[in-house]
Amino acid sequence: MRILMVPLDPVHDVALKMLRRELLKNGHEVVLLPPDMKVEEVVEICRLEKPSVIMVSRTVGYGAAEVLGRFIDLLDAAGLRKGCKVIVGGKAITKELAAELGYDAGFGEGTEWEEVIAYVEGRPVKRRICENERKKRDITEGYSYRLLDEAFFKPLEDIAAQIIEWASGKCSPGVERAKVRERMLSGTDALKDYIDLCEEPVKSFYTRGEIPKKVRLVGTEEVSKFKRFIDGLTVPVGSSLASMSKPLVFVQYGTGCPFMDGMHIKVCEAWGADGFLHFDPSWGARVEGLLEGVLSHEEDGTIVTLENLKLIKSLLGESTLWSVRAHRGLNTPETVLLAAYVGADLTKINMVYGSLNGGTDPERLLVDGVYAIRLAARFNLPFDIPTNEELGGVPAYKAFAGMLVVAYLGLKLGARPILKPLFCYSPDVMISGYMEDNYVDYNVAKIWALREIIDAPIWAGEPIGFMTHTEERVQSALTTALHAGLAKSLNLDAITIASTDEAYSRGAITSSSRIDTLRALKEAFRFLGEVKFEPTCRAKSFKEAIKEGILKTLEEIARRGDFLSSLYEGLLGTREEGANPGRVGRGSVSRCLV
Amino acid sequence: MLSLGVFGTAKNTGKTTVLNAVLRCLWGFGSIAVTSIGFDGEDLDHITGLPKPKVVVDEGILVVTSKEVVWRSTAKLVLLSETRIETTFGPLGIYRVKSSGRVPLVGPNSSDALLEVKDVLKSYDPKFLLVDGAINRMVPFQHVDYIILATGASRSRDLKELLLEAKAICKALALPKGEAEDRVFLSGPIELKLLEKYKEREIVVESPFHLLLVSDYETLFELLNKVKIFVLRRPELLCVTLNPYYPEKRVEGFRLAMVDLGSLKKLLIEEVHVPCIDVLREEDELFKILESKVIGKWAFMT
Repeated sequence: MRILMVPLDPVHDVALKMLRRELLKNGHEVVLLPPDMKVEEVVEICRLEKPSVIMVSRTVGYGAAEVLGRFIDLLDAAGLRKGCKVIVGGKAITKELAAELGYDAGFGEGTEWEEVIAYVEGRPVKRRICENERKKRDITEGYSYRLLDEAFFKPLEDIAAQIIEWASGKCSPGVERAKVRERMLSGTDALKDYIDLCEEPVKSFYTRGEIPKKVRLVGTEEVSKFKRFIDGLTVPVGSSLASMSKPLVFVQYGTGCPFMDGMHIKVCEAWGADGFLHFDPSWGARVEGLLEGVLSHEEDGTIVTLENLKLIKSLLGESTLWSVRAHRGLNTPETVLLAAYVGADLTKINMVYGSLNGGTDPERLLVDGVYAIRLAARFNLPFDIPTNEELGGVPAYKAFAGMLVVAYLGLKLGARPILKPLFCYSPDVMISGYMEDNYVDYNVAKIWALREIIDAPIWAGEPIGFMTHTEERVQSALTTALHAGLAKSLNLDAITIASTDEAYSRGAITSSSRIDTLRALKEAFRFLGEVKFEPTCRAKSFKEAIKEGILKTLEEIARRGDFLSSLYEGLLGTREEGANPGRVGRGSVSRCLV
Repeated sequence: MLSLGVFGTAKNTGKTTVLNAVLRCLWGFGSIAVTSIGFDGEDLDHITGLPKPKVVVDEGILVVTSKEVVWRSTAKLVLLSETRIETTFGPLGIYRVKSSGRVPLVGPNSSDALLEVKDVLKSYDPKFLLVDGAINRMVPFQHVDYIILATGASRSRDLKELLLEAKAICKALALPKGEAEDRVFLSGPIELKLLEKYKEREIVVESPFHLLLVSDYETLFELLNKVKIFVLRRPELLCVTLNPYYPEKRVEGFRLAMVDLGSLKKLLIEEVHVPCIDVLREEDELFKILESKVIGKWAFMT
C-alpha cells in the first residue's frame, strides 16, 4: 500500500517515524513528509502521490482542531476522500474528536502499533500472544513441595501426624453443615437439617424470612438487568500486567454489593489483573450457617451465598483466576465446598491465623480446618495460607512456623498449599527496627528463608505493602508498585494488591483508585523488566534469624506434642505479641456420630 | 427531501443550539431525519471542558448515527437498517426515535458519504434532512439545499474580523449557479492566485466552499467582487446566527464569557442583506424564515 505520512505539527513526528519502521517491515510503501508544511502543499502532494492511506499526526492544542478540520475539507474539496483512508493520531486524539474532525479513524494515547497497522491493512487486530493465550495459570505448577532443609522434616512430620490423629473422630456444626450442604448440592432436600445446624440470625432468615440488618435481598429482575448490562459491555481483558511472566496480580474485592464487585472486576480485568479474591463480611465468620440468595450488604465484605458466588463467577473472564477465602470462621468447610462447586480456582485456609487474631476458637477451627483441607484436596482446589497474624504484632518467624505446619498438613492430606507471607511493615518490624533503612532487606529475607525450607509456590499478600500505605493516592500507588517490583524481582508466583484508597476509603473503594495501582504496577514492571533489586548484606542475616526462629518454634511445638495446646499457650504468638486465641464457636466440637 | 445544514465557523459557535431550534420548528410539518458530519454528544467540550448542548430528538424522527454510540442515547431508538457507510465508530445505522431524548450523532464524514446517506434515506422518504456541522468543516455542505451560517464570539472577539469572514462566506454563497460550457472550469479547492490569474474570464468552480478554504478572506472578498464566478452547486443561505458567548481561557481553565454583537448584526444586515439572529433570544425569527423558505418550498414541491 502507498502510505503518506503527514506530521501536521511544528515539531513532532516521532510516532510517525516509529510507525514507518513497522509499516516498512510489512512491505508497505511509505512517504514521510517533513513537519510543519502548509496544508495546501500537503494536499497538492496527496493529489500527485495518490496514496491509499494518509496518516496525519498532531499534538492537540487550541487551534489544532481547526487546522485538522481544514485539512480534511481541502482533501474533500480536491476529491481525494474516495478510496483513501485518512487517519489522525496524537496524544490527545480520541475517537470522538476524530469523528468530529471527519477523519476515518483516530488513534490516541496508549495505541499499539498493531492497532494502526491492522486498520491500515483492513484486518482485525492480531492480539499479542499474551492476550490471545492468556490462559488460566496454576500457581502450584512445577513445585515439588520437597523439604529442602532436613532439619525441618522431623518436627513438621510429628506435628502434622499429631494434628491428623487428634482431629480424627472429631466433628462440629461447621463440618456437619458442610456434609448437609453437599447432600443439598446433589439435589437432596435437606434444608431442615441445615437450619437445625444454624444459629440466629441465619435461622430466622430461613424460618421467618427475616433479612438481617444492613442486608438487602436483590430482586431477580435487578440481577437479570445487571447481567444484561454486563453482557453488553465489550470490556477487553487487558494483557496481564506481568505479561505472562511472574507474579500474577490479584485484586481483593468485597464492597458488600455483588454488582459493584462485578464492575470492579471488569475494570481490573481490563487493566490487566490476573485474579480476584472474594472477601466476606467479618460477621460471616462469627455466625453458624450461610444465608441464601443474591444479597447486598451495606458494609465491607460481600456475603458468601451460593447465588452471590454464582453471579460473580458468571462475570469473570475466561482466563481470570478466582479465590474464595474460607480460612477463619465457623463456615470454613462449607465455604470451601461452595467455592469448589461454583468453580473457584483457589481458596484460603489457615487455622493458626484464623484462631489467633481474635477470631474463631482454636479447637473449633482446627477441626473445621482439617476437614476443609480434605475438601480442598478432594476438589483439587489449591489453598493459600496467609500469615496476617504479623499485622497483630506476631513476629514473622512464628507466623511462618504456623504457616508451614498448615502447609505440611495440607500436603499430608493430599492438597496443594500456597505460602502467603506478608510484604508488610508489621508492628514487630517497627519495634525491632528491621526496616529502618529500607523495606527491601527484611521482605527479601522472609522469601529467602521460606525458599531454603521448602520448594513451594509463594504468593505475597495481603495486600503487599501493608502498613506502608497512606491516605495520599500517589504515595499509595507508588508503595504498592515498589513492593510489586520487589516481588517480581524475587520471581514470586503471585501478589495481592490494594487500591490506592483501600486503607482509608471510609466507605466503598472506588474503581478509579484500583486503576491507580494497576497503572502504577504496569509502570513498575515496565521500568524493571528483568532487572533485580539488590538487597544489602543485612538481608542474609535477617534470613538466618528468621529460619532459626521458625525451626526453634517448630521444635518447641513438636516437643509439646499437642498442637492445640501450643496455640492456646502462645507458642505461635503470645498475647503480649498480639496473638489472642479466638472465642467464637468455643465448646462446639463434638465426637462424630458415625 | 429537502436538506438543511448548519455550518459553523468554529467550535462553540452555536451549531447544536441552532439545530435544536430548527428541529423544534420543523417538527409537526412532516417527517424529519437528522445527522451530523462530525460528532455530537460530548457532555463536555473536548478541549475547553465546558458543558455543551446536546441534540434533542422527538418521537418519530429518523436518526442517522453509528451503532457504537447509540448506547449513550437517552432517547429510545429502534434500528431500521444498517448501512455500509463507515465512521470512526463503525458503520452508520438508520434509527427511528421511539421516545424523545438526547441523541449522540456520528454521521457521514465526507461529501461522498453525505451523498450516500441521502441516497439511503430515500426509501424512508423524510421531508427534511438536517445535517449538523462540525468545528469549522464545510465542504460536505455542497450537497445540501439550505444552509444556516453559525458564527460568533467563539470564532473571534474581533468584530472586524468576524464581519469580514461572514461577509466573504455570504458573498460566496450568493454566487450565481452556472454550467461549465464556454467558461474556465476549475476543479478542487481554489487558491487565490488562481482567481487572480483568471480575473478577466468567467470562471466556474464546484461550489462556494471550494473558494472558502483559503486563509486570507480579505483578499478573497475583494476578488469575489471583482471576478465573474459561477458555481456548479450551492445551498441557499437562510440566515446567519450570532452567538455572543465564547469560552474564555483563564489561568484556572476555561469559563463562559460574552461579547456584545449588536453592532456586527447591524453591519451584516446592511452589507450583505442576510437576516441575522441570536437564536437564544430570537428563535421566532428563525421560525419565520424556515416557514417562508423551507416549509413553503416543500409545500410548493408537493
